[in-house]
Amino acid sequence: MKLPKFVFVISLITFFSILYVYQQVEVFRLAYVVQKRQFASDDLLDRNILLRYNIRKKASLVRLGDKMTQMAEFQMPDNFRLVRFSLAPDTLHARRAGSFRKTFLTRVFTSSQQPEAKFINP
Amino acid sequence: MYISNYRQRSKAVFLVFLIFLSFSIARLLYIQFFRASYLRELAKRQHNLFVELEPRRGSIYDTLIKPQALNISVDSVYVAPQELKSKERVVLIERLPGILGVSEAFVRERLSRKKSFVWLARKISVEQSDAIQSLHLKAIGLLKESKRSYPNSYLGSHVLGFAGLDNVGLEGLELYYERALKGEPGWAMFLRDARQKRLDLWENMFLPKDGYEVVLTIDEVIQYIAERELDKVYKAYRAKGASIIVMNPHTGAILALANRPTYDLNERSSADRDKMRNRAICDLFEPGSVFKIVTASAALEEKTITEEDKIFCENGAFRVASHILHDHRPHGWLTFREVIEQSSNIGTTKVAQMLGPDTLWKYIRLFGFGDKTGIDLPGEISGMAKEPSRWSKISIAAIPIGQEIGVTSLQLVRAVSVIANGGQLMKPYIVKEIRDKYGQSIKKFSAEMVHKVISLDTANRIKKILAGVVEEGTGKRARIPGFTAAGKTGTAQKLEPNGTYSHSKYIASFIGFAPVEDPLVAIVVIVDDPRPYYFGGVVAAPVFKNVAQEIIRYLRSHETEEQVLASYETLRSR
Repeated sequence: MKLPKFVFVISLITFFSILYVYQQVEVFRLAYVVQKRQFASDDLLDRNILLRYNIRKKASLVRLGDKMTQMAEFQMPDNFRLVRFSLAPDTLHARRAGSFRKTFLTRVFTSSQQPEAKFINP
Repeated sequence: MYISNYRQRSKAVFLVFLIFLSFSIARLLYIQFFRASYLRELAKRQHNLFVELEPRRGSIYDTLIKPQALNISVDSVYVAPQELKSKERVVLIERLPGILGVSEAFVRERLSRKKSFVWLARKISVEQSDAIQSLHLKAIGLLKESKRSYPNSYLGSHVLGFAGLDNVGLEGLELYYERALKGEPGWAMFLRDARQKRLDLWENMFLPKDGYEVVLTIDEVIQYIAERELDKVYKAYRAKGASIIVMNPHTGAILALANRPTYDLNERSSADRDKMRNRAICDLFEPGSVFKIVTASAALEEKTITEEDKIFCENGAFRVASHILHDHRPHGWLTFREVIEQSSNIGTTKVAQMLGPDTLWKYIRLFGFGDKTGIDLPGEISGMAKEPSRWSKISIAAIPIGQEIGVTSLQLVRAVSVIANGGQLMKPYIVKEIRDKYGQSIKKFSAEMVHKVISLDTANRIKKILAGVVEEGTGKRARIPGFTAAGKTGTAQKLEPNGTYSHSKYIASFIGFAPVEDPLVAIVVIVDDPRPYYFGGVVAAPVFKNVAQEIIRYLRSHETEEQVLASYETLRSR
């Protein structure tokens, strides 16, 4: 009877020892997995911050201003005021009709047409 | 030796095992009791790694919380020379100079070092990092480091300053608020595996405290407007230097501060010290005619004279002691108002003589000259102002017109703000709030009045005179279409090395505020040695006009309904 009890106790101790070792190994294995994912996550976050920084830099007033001064086709006068005209739709329609009639009359009764500014569709 | 007796043989074997066992037990006892602490320490060093955790440096934002200085993670490349194989060495010597932009000799020297860890380059670009990773060499590695970056390149460079390679502030606000920005490092005891590789498991950890964030009074848009116009005048007149400051005259909050020449904060290794100097607070100069606002304010406040009193301006030449004082244009009889509008040196000197040296000195000090303003930027100087006991016989003619006195641009804008805000000397400041990374306010800064300089009535009278300078006088080019403006021009001769006044080098200046009824901004423009034109009214006044015009439009377009109504009520009550 003593031997089986002895074997049982030894087996139990061995089992728990192995369990402990397995637990430690699992902890380290999970640590590697977490570390790998943490590294990937940190890398993505860093790239995100870098991307936002690059967007901010490209959209900065300094860069936009430099770009605009390089564009020869676009120039703003030193002094300017922004003015907005608004016309009622009826007035616009009447003026358009009037301008057509005038042109037709001009075509009939004169040899040459006067240059005339056309209304821009607001 | 053979033992025939079985029992004796058994005893001999047992004895051997007993000796071995005793030895083992003795060894175990020795290890357990006498070597325990040493071995525990050794195990700790093998299994654990003490790592200092770097805190994140706080960002700097403008008044609308747009980032001006922030941290980005970049790679730094290192090599382990002792683990380098000869084939890898060849590859590195061949490829690294092209990738990192360094010489071959530099790479050879680094690889020849007898160390296990040697830096090759710190904080490299993403392209360089990718190129190094593509080499696939085990002995070369990349470590993440935090790099201080400035998305607006040179905008506000003299205000922001910069942090060095190890994220330590070296100039500007980065230096001044280093303690708040740097944070506090933490530490952690990480576990290591059998290959000495660090794991993300720790026994103990003390978290780092990230640096605080600094929110400025500077508005990025206003700063850009100011710098753009300053750039134009600096280049157009081939000036030696230029400065501009835009300030809220009621609170002392700095809305923009810029100097030329300037430098890109991200490329500062190529900039020399001259470009890094914050001229607006570090440079001393004789202000010239802009200083007449002090003399005029003192005269009105002391009731020495009124606006309509007439003064004879000696037709352009006036003897004071051994010196002949000249006006830029000969004048006869002028009212006091016209003396300031036409910037007559003779008229101003006569008013100063009526005031007397002691009274004039009192107002020079009241306006803040001769003292530092106390702005939260490093390197400010106090200027130079000497007491009447040290004045010469011609000082009474020189000081009232802005000679024999040294001022900074910041002192000038603060002085004109006294007139704009109704007579109060305000302390200028550039940081409005310090907060943590979650946005919780740690400390707030607000308007601080130093003392009263002149009465409201005097301030209003001087405002009208300075408005006359812009409407009728030397500052016509400062007129802003659609808005009223007030100010003073200045054309100060610079001193030659031999101590005499130059006839070819000048400082052109303009100080002013707008709109006159309810000033939104006070501005000073200083242009050092412009060519070929050098008059303040020609060189500096248009800069004031362009900057003030756009800033007022910008500020008005951002006003809330309550602010518009409040402004209207203020105007109505006046």
